[in-house]
This record gives sequence, C-alpha cells and structure tokens, in this order.
Amino acid sequence: MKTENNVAPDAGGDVLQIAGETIGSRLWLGSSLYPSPQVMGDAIAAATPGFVTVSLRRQSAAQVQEQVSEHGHWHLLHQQLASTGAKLLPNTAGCLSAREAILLAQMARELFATDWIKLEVIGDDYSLQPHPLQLVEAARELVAQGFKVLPYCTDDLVLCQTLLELGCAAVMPWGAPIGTGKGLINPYQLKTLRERLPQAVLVVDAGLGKPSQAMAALEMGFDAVLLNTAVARANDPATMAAAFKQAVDGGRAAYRAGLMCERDQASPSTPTLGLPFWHQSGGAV
Amino acid sequence: MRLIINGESCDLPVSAGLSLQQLLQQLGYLQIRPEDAAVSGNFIVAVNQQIVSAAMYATTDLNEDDCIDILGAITGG
Repeated sequence: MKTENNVAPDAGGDVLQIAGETIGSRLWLGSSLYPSPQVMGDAIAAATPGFVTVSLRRQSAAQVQEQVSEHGHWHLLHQQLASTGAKLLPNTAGCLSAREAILLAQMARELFATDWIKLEVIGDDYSLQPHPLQLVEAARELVAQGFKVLPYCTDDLVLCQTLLELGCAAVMPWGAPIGTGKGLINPYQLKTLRERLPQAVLVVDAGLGKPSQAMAALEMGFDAVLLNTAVARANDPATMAAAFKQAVDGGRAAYRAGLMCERDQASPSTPTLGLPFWHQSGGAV
Repeated sequence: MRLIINGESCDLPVSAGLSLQQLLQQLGYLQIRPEDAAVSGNFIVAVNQQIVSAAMYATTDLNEDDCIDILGAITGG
C-alpha cells in the first residue's frame, strides 16, 4: 500500500545484517565509564546490545590480571556476551594516524579474536573529530587485510561514500562530538546520508545523550546507534540502558511503519462530512 | 640490556640472549612453567611494532633498544 510517507517501509524482514553476519540488536553499547564492572554488566544485560565496544592499552602484568579476575571488567563482559549474544567490537580509540590505527587494529584482532573493528582516527583533540584522510588510508589497508571495518566518521557525504566504496561494512557518522550528549546536531546532513546512501548500513555513533535522540536517529532510517556515556553516566545505568533499548526499538518500528510527511497547514483528523448543524446556523464551533 | 617496555626505558641485568618469553616471565605476564605460556591469551605483544604470536615468544630473541609493547583489554566506547 502506498502511504503518505517520506520513507519507504522495508517490505521484508527486519534483520540487521552487516558483512554477512546477523547483528542481534540495533542498540550498540560502549563498555567504558561505568562506576563498576558490575554496573557495566547490568547495563549490558538490560540493553542486550548488538555490539559491545572494547579497546586495548599498554598494561602491566598486574593490570592484565585485574582485568581478567573474577570481578574484573573482562570476566563480567564475557558473561554478558555469552548471555546476550552481543558481539565484541574493538576500537582504535586514541589513534592519531593511519599507521597507529592499523597496528592497533591488528593487535585487537589477535587479542579479541575478531575481524570486526571500529576504526577511529582522531584529527582534532578538542572536538575529537575524525581525521578524514587518515581514516580513508587506514580503512583501505584494513579492508585489504580482511577486517570488517566500521569507521567512526563525520557526516560528510563524500567521505561516507568513499569509505563504503573502499569496502567498509558500514559507516558510523557522529551525531555530535563524543561525550557531549548533544544529539543529532546536523539532522539535515544525516537525512541526506540516508537518502543518498539507501543501501548502506548507517550507524549514528557518538554524541547521543537521550533516548529520544536515539529514537530520532532510527526514525530517520539509521540502522543502529552506538553510545556509551549517556548510559554509563546515568544515575541508574541499567535503567537508562533499558530506556535506550525501548527508544531504539520504537524508532525502528516507526520508520518501518512509515512516518507521515510534515506539513504547514492544519488538516482535521475528524471527518467534516455530515456535521449536523453548526455551519448552517452560523454559530461558532 | 636496555629495552623500551611499554614506552619506558628499562635496564635489565642481562647481556644478549634474552628471549621474549623470558622477559614476559620476568615481568609476571607469563607463569614460569612453559605449558602455561601458550594459553595465556589475555594480552598481545608487539616487538618494534611487529606483533609476536604466543607461539613465537620462546624463539624471539630481544636486542638492545628493542621496543616491546604489551597490551591488554580495557573498556572502550
């Protein structure tokens, strides 16, 4: 049925597939900044995310042991991955050049035993804006090495097109700078990406602060959202994770149902045909 | 022998012939028993920015001024 939609509803199933793999949820969650490993585990359990992001850093032997101890992040994370079916998504956070990002991605692949990589190459320390040129260079090499590359990028259309043409499995433009919670600060550009890249998997990554903002991204047709701070820094991270899950599910359902087109002129929703007598008598409604 | 371990210069009281496995044992990353070494998997090592697999620890000899990076999992966003 053709409806008064500004997007075409997906007639098929609603399984999110990326690089040939089924991703169980459109909410992807970071594992950082929680007040404790247990709270992180509770939030992941509540979110049942498609991916959980992790990273790697230089560590002493004692730090390695702490991470894998019974009450450490790593131990609890593995428990939640097993129970929720979420996949690990290592990142290259903190890298400032393609060379750094490529080496860190290679080490992540060995350590976490996965080809998935959230590719981050930062170009500006203040805004944490991705470096587009270094990002493209790193993406080209990592795709050639068989990685499933999910680049964190700006919302620049040509950059996203280039990354997809290189073979990135998806692109992940920012909603706003990392950790700001400002939401979708450039909805026009994000809508343009969805319209111009209809076949691409698009994920809003970073800047989301409220469930309503995640819902807006899904309503816009984005395939998933990735966030961390908004959940981890909530007073009750598990409840906030559940709220984001509901928002993401709602936004996706609304997108698939077909949103009405916005218009300037009012239009009555109650039929006017058969009004009994007010107009004939000239009285006020 | 001077090595750069996780970005910090370290003078070790040995001359040549130190293997990566011996270093990792000395630093506490690996147990002394060889059978524990190959199954660790909780960290990843690069020598001079080249990844060294666990199977190669014992046969990787270290040289003066080698840079050894030992990375473990952390939380991330």
